[in-house]
Amino acid sequence: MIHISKLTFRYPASETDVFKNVNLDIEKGEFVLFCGASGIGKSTLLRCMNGLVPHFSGGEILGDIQVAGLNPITASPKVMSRQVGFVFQDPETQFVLDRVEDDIAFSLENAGIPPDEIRDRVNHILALLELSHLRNRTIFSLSGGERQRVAIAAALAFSPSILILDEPTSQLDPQSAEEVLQAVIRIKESLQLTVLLSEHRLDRVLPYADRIIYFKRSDGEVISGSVREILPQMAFSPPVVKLGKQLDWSPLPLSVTEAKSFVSQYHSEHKIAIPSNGKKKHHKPLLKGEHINGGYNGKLVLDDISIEIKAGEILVLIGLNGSGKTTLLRTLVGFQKPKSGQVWLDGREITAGEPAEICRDVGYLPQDPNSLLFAEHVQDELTITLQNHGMRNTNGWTDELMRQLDIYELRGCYPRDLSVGQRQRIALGAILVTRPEVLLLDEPTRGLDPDSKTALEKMLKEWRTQGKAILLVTHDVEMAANLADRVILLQDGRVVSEGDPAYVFTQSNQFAPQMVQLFPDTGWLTVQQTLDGLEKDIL
Amino acid sequence: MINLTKEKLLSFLIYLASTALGAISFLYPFFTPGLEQNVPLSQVRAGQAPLVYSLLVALCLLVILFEVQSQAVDAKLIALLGMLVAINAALRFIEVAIPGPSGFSPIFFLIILTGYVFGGRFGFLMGTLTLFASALITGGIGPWLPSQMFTVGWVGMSAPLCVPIVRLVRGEGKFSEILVLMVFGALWGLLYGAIINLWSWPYIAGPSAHFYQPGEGWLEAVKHYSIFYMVTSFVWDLGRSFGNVLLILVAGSATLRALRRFKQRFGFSYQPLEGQTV
Amino acid sequence: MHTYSWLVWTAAALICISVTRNPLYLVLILFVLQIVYLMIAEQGDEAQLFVNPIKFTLFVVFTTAIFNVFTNHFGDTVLFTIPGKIPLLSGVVTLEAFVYGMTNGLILSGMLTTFSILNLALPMRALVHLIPRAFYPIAIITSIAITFAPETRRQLNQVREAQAVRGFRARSVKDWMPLAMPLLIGGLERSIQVAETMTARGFASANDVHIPNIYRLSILGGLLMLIGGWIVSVTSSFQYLTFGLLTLGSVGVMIAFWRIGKQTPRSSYKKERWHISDFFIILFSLLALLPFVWDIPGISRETLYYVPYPRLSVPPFEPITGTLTLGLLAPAIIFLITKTYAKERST
Repeated sequence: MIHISKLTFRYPASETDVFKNVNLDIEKGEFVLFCGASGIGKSTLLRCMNGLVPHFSGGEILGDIQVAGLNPITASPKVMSRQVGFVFQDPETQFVLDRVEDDIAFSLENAGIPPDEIRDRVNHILALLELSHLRNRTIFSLSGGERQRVAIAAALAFSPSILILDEPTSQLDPQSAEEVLQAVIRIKESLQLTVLLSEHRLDRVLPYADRIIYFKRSDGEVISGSVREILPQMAFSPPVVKLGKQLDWSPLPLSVTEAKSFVSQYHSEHKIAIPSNGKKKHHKPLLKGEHINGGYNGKLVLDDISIEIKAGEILVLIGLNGSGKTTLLRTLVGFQKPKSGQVWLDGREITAGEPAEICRDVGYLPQDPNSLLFAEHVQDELTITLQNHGMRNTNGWTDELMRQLDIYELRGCYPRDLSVGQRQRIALGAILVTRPEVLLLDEPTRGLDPDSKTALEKMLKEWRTQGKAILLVTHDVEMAANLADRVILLQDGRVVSEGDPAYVFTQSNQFAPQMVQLFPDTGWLTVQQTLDGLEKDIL
Repeated sequence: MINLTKEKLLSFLIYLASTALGAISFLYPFFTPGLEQNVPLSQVRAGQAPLVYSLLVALCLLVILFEVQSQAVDAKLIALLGMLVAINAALRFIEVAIPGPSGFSPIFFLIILTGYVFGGRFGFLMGTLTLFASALITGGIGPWLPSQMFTVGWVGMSAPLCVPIVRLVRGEGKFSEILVLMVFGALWGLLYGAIINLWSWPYIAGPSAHFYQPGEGWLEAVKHYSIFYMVTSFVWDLGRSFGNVLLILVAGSATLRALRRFKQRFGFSYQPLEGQTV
Repeated sequence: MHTYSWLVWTAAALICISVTRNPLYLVLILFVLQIVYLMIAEQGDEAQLFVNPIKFTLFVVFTTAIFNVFTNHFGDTVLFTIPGKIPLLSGVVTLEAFVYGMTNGLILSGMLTTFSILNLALPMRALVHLIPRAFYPIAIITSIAITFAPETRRQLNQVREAQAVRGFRARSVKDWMPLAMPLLIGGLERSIQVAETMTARGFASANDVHIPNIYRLSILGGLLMLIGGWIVSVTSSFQYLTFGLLTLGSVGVMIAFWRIGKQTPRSSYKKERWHISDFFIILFSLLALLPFVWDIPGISRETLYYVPYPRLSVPPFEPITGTLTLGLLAPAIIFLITKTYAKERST
């Protein structure tokens, strides 16, 4: 179906090749995963398949590529669109018209297809993706998962034989991600598609993939093989896989379900009591919310919530979408006034405070840090915040902060040209420059690749050691497992469970890290803890 | 080759003819004294005249729009225009929110700057479609819309006129560039008001208002109109001019930089035709 | 109701309003329009009725009357005199001028009300669909703009909060930069994503369609005829020649657009359905229009042209014309019928 031979590409005005001499063969009906760090060329290679590269992007391309019998380089994206459907990453900008039906029909109208046929196809696709009840809704009123499904529907309008998805779930929460990936798997079967999927969150799709194509970093080398062949060679894999690799489980389990059979050999051992979380320091609570009731539009979103964020501690807030996490953060910082309750910062009441004031002492990283950045140079982003607060840049503090955040080399660059991870660090710089003692981060892992996530974890641990009070709202349970000192589970605006991570995670099915699912009641959260624990057990 | 130049010639002639027709359609109130030839039926003609001429302006608008867009069928351009028009149309709501009497309209800022950076045709589309889109959104379609769209289109279409002036004072990237644009914005602030007001004049003053003044020609009509203008819209237009100048002063250079950076990065293959500043 | 029937109704109303200067007819038409407006506004969205139409009409009529009274000094029934030599203002203030100005006001508010009704009746998307196929890039640009404009306002809030997070407060115009710039830059970046999506979905990104010169010539010819028509109308009084040239010119241009539109390979999958009510609306609109544009034997068209000068008199009124004008009520009646029918069905 797809044959690539000696493909080399370089962006215009660039001096290095994005990839060089890539050879690839994909058979009809395969489900292929594209993995590798961000910015390494996966997206570019995928875009070669439907001609976006080089027609949309410009640049120089060499080599041979055949997709469904056509050559994308000579044919245009217009021709390729009949054979290849493409789904992009961002659920906010992937559509042209605002009504679901209209957007799906857009490409068909463009091609001059007769109206009756358009109607049939649209109905068929809507049914296939379980969107029929949403057909008259505006796209902006849909959830992220629903929007991405509409994008998939639009990509399938021409009944192509190949579906390419470029990180379709990286901006979504786990529920929506699950929704989307299930939809992909389902339609692959019913439409007999060849699917190329680029993803970081492998846990859900690994069992269904036929092959992995892995972009090893920097040297542009691309290796391809079956899932179990390539997984061990990859730098990032789900915890279950890492564990299986370490313990030499064979065949390598790809999901928790597959791993359960191996666990039984350990499971018969005695249950281990939940370990205490090491040193129970008595930290000072820096940011406190007491009996907060809040909401908007007549809806009660926060129901009598009390929360304490202590110095030198990372508190993780988890909960389903709509459980009130973001509202709580915004109430703490002053964007929303609670109906009742108080917010205290280091003994001072700030319930009715102005966010601009409060944010000098409470660093708040919103979900989309892009809205923060508008300066010409990275270093200006930091100095602007100082100016806003009327503070001065003493003793090269901004330089030092940039070094800490590993953005010093980028200080003269245009922030919006940089990668997601870099931009996040710049945004962090912009809010940390006032040296706040409390840090609130709202879903910082959205759109981050594994490398950047590791860097973020490192920084958070560093700040914890410095004594900052950190509240982390995240869907990423594995990261929570790595970092959390305490966990709060929020549901329908109420605190349902609070305390030790091991305890809280075992309470909830949806939010259990893979190690907890495999070894419940042991208190092991991370791969390292599991390995240590098993070793201790065996000895 | 020959076909290409014939096409260009035809395009040019069409621009010329439609602009001429549009202009005279705007200016007809100055010529209606010629209609009043003592025949009672001519009053009827005069009563319909505003409507007929509105339609003519609409037609000219359509023709120019057609010429302008036929070079711009690129997905990047369409998406860029769509997004910029969305922003500009949303900005228009600020117009309503500003307290006090003023003709301040934030939409001219982007229209002038994008016309300046991306070319006359882009500017024309930007202007016309901003008004069209915001009229659709707010439910403000009205008989004044074609005239407004036509005039605002010309604001954008004429923005590249600043290019040679800036080059003359060697001001690219410097404050003198902003100064030139400020003057441009100030002039159009007033001119726009004067032209648009022409639309309402016949309705308010009545085309046959000077019917009974014997011996009146078009010069008298101009005098009449200037007084009408001073009374009704001059203050308003001063507000608009001032607003334009202020916006360009404050946000002009940063916006120009952002637009230019964007243009360079995404390699727009949309080049304005030579001699486009008709 | 079909979009086209609304257009016919609007055209009929506009033509009736602009043809006559008889205040009695105008008041009648305005009365009809007010009823239609109130009926439509009721069944449409909530907040569109922010201006009370009757108050608005009165305001417009009064203002134009006042304006005319103080700028035109003719007529026999003098109310009072402004002394001195103030340009434009000095002179007699007459009742005739008042009535004349009032008539202007009636015409203006009639037009405005008609368009308000059109705005309420036709949803945004229907209007976009009206754009002829020859202008499809503009239709797409407009669609994209309409799609993303509401989002822009939401983005503005997001940006405002993001800037507050770094201590920024918008205090004056100069402070709008940190709000406007991320908005603009974000918009620019998003447009590229939209463009990429369009391209991936097969949007023609090159000028595939070549427009033959014959169409351009036809447009040019039409324009020249229109210019000719205008010149004729100004310099002479050959009305029919004017009318002919204007019509031919417009038609020529329209046909060119229509043919060009046929060339582009695009289709539209939303087809509006015609109902019996559309037939009635079009019929009655045309009937209302009839006495205004046609010389029907037995009905005096002279009654349309009333002038208060030099001496104020009671305007004439032709009852048949008045009755036919009521045909413009058709949409209101249709709505009334559908409303009561729907109520009956639900109970």
